[in-house]
Amino acid sequence: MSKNINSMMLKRQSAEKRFRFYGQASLAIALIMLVVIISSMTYRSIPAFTNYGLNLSINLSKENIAQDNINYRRLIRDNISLLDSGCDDRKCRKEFLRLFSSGAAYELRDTIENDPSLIGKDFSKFILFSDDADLFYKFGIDNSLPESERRLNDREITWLNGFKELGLVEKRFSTNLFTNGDSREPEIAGVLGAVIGSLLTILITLIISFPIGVLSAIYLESFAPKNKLTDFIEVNINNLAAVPSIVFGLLGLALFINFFGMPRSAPLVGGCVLSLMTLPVIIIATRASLQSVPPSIREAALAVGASEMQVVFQHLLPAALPGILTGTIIGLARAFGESAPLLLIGMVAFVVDIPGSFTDPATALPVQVYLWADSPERAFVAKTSAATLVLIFLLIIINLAAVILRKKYQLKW
Amino acid sequence: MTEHIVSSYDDDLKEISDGVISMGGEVLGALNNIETLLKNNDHELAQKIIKNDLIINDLGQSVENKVFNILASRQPMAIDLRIVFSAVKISLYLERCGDMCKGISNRVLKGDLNEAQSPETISLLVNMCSMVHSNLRIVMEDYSKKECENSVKVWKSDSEIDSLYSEILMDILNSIKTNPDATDALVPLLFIARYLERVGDQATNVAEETYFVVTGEDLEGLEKTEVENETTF
Amino acid sequence: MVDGTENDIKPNGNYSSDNNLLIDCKNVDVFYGDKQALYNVSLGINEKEVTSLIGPSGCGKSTFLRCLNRMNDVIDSCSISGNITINGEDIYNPNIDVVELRSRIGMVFQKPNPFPKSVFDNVAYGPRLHGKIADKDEMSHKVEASLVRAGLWDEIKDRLNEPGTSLSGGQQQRLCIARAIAVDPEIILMDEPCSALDPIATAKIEELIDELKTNYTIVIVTHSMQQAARVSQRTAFFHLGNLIEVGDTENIFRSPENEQTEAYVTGRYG
Repeated sequence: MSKNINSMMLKRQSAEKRFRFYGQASLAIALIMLVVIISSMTYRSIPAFTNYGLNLSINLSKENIAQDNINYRRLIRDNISLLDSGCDDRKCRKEFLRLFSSGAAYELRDTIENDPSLIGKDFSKFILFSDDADLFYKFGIDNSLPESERRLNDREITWLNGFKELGLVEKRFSTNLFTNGDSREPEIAGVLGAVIGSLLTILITLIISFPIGVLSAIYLESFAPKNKLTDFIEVNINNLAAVPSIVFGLLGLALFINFFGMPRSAPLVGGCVLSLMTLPVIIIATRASLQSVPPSIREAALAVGASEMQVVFQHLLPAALPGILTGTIIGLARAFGESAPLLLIGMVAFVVDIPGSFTDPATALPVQVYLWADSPERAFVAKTSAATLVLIFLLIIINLAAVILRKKYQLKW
Repeated sequence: MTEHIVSSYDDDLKEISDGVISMGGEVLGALNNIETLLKNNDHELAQKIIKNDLIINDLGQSVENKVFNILASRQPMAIDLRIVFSAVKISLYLERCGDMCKGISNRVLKGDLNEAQSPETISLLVNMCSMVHSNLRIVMEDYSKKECENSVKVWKSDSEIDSLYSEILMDILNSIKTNPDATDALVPLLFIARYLERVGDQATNVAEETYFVVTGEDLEGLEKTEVENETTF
Repeated sequence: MVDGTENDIKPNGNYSSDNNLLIDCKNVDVFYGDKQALYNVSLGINEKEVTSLIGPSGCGKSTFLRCLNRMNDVIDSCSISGNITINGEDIYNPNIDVVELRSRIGMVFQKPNPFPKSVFDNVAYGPRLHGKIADKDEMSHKVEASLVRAGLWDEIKDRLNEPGTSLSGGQQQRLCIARAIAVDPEIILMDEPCSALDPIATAKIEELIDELKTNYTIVIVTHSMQQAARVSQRTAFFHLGNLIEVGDTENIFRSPENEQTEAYVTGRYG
C-alpha cells in the first residue's frame, strides 16, 4: 500500500517539477525573443540618429541682403559652390549640389531667423549630406555593381572621398527624428507630426469614449431593468470588443466622412473612429469593476439612506475607479497602436506640417511607420525602426500610467 | 421531549436527576430506620443512621458539582434550567432531612426512650414518621417521573402533619405535667417531634420545587382549592 | 400566530401593554419569486425596547427584519404583502420615499462594513447626505457625540482620519453603530451584529445595546439564545417562515408556551 503511495507521490513530484520547468522555459523563451526583437530593432535604428554633414562657411559679409527677402536656397548654392568641386558645366555643379540635403536651406533660414544679427557676418553652418551620401559614409557602397545600377556614380564617390580626406566630414547626433515632420528626404524626416497627430487623435478618443463608456456601464449595471433587451445589449457589447478594427474604419468612412462630411484625415475623425473601437472595452472593464465592489458597501450605503444614484456615484464608482482607469488606458493603448481603421479614413496622407488643431490633416504614428516601411529609400529602413521604437516607448508610458493611476486610487478594503 | 442534539447534555442532566433521586432514596431509608429506631430503641441502628448521613452529604456535594459544571458549559434554558436550578435546592432540602435524622438518632443515643414511659407518645411519633416518610416518597416518585399531581396533594396535606405535631406536643407537655420525674426522658421526644415536623416541611419544599420543574410556575401562587391537572413530560 | 399546523398553542400575545407600539406588522407574507419565506406574520414592536428575533437558520428572521426598512426592495424577486406601519404610517405606501424612510431607521449588519473612508467621514456620511448639518463645527460635535454614544470615542479620538477599515472587528462594528445613530434614527435594526466578533467585542456591543435602548427602539436578530436572553425584553421565535411564539424574554426562557419554542431554546432542535 505504501509502495503505491510512494510511487504516486514521486510521480506527482516529478510532474510538478516538469510543469515548473515548462513555465520557466516559456518565460525564458519569451524574454529572449523580446530581447532579440528590441535589440535588433535598436541596432537597426542607430543610423537614424546620426547624420553626416559638413561645416559650410556662410559668408554674408559680402552680401547685401534684407532680412525679409532672403533667398536661402541661393545662399546655400552659392556657398557650396565655393567648395572645390572641379566642376566645369552646370550638370556637374548640380550633381555636386545634390550631395547635400535639400533641407539645408530651411535649416539656414531657421538659424538666421533665430539670430538676425548674423546678417552681414561670416559664420559656419553645419549642413547635412543627402541621404545617398549619408548612407555612403555609414555603410559604404557596393563597388562590384556597374555604375548605372548604383545610387552614386564614380564622380560623386570621388567627391565624397575627397571631403573625407580633407577632414571636412563630421558625424553628429541628430534629433531630427524627434523634431521634424515627415519629409521625402529621409535624413530630415521625423515623427513629430505623427506623434502629435496620434496624441490629438487619442485625446478625441478619450473625450468621447470615456464618459459615454463609463456612464453606459453604470446605467446597464445599476439602473437598467434586467430583461431580454438588456441581455441582448450586453451580448452585443461583448462581441463588439472582438470585431476587427478595420471594420470600424469602414464604418467611420461611411458615417463620419460621407454622411456627416467631416474633414478627411483629421484627428477629429480618427478619434471618432477609434472611440467606436474603444467603447466596448471601456464598458466591459467598467462593468467588471463595478461588479467586483463588495455588495456589503452597497447595502451599508442604502441602509444609511442613500439613494441608488448616490450609492453608485459616491461609493461604487470610487471603489471601481482603479479597474475603470486600467481598462480605459489599456483600451486607449490599443487604439494608439491601431493603423488599419485610420488608413481607411485617410490618415495615410503625406503630411509635412505638424498638425495644429483637431481638424488639420494629420497622420498617426503607426501609420507613419507603415508609410516609411513601404518607402523605397534605403535610409528609411533605419528611420522605420527608430519610429517603431518611439511607438513602443510611448505605449510603455501609457501602460505605466495605467499602473501608477491604479495604485494611486486603489482603495483599501 | 426529544433528546438534545448533543447527547452528552442528556447524560449530564440525567446524572443530576439521578443524583437527587439517590439522595432521596437514602433519606427515605434513613426515615425507615428512624421508624424502626423509635420502636426498638436500637442504639446500633442509631449509629448506623448517623454514619449514613455522610453518604447523603457526599451525594449532595456531587450533585452540586455536576450542577456547577452544567451551568458553565451548557447554559441551560427553559426546562433544563429549571431541572438544574431545582436540583440544587432539592439536594439542600434532602441534606437537611438527613441532618434531621442524624439529630433524632443523636437524641436517642443520648437518652433512653423507654425511660420516658410514654408508649402512646412513641407510637404517635412512629405515626408521624410514617406519614412524613410517605409524603417524601410520593414527592420523590413524582420528581423521578417529572410529574407533580401527587406532589400538589402532599403540599396541601402539610397541615395534617402540623396537626399531628401539635397533638404530640400537647401529649408530651401533659406527660411532663403528670410525670415530672420523666422530664429528662420526655424532653428529647419533643425534639424528635420537632425534627420530624421539619422533615415534613422539607418534603413540602421538595413538592414546590417539583411543581416548578414540571410547570414553570410557583406553587405558592396557586389557589389552594384549585389544582390543575398537569400533564406528564 | 401559527398557520394551522399541529401546534395550536397560542403565543403569549403579540402586543405588550406596558409600552407604546411603534412598529405594527399584520399578516405579512414575503415571497422570493415563487418561494414563500414568511407566512402571515403579525408582530408588534414596542418603542424604546429591545426585541429579539430568534430561530434556526433560514427561518425568515432576517427577511422579516429587512422588511422593516424596506431593504428587501433591492432584491428583484422579492415581493411583500400585508401591512407594516411605523407610528401608524404604512411604510409600503407608494407615496413613501424609501430613502427618507431608511434615514429614520438605522441598520447594522452581520459583517462590519465601514465605508473605505476615514473614521470621521464614515460617521459624517449620513448627516452630510441628508443635509442636516451645515456647519463644520456642528459636524465635528455630531461625529464626536455619535462615537461617544457608540462607546468608541476614547479608543479612536486621535485616529479620526485613519481609514475605517484599519480598526479591529469589534471597533468596526461599533463604528457602524455610530454611523447608524449619527442620523438620529428612531429605530435601529441589527442583523446578528456580534456573530463575527470575539467575546470581548460582543460584550461591548451588548453593553452598548443596553445603553442605547433608553433612546432607540432596537430590533435584533440573533442566533444565540443566551444573547437574546441577556439583551432583549421581548423575544419572537420564528420557524420555517412562521412566527411561532412571541412574549416577554423572561417567559420564553423560563418556560415557553410552545413545544417548538422549547425544543429550540433548549437545543433539542437545530
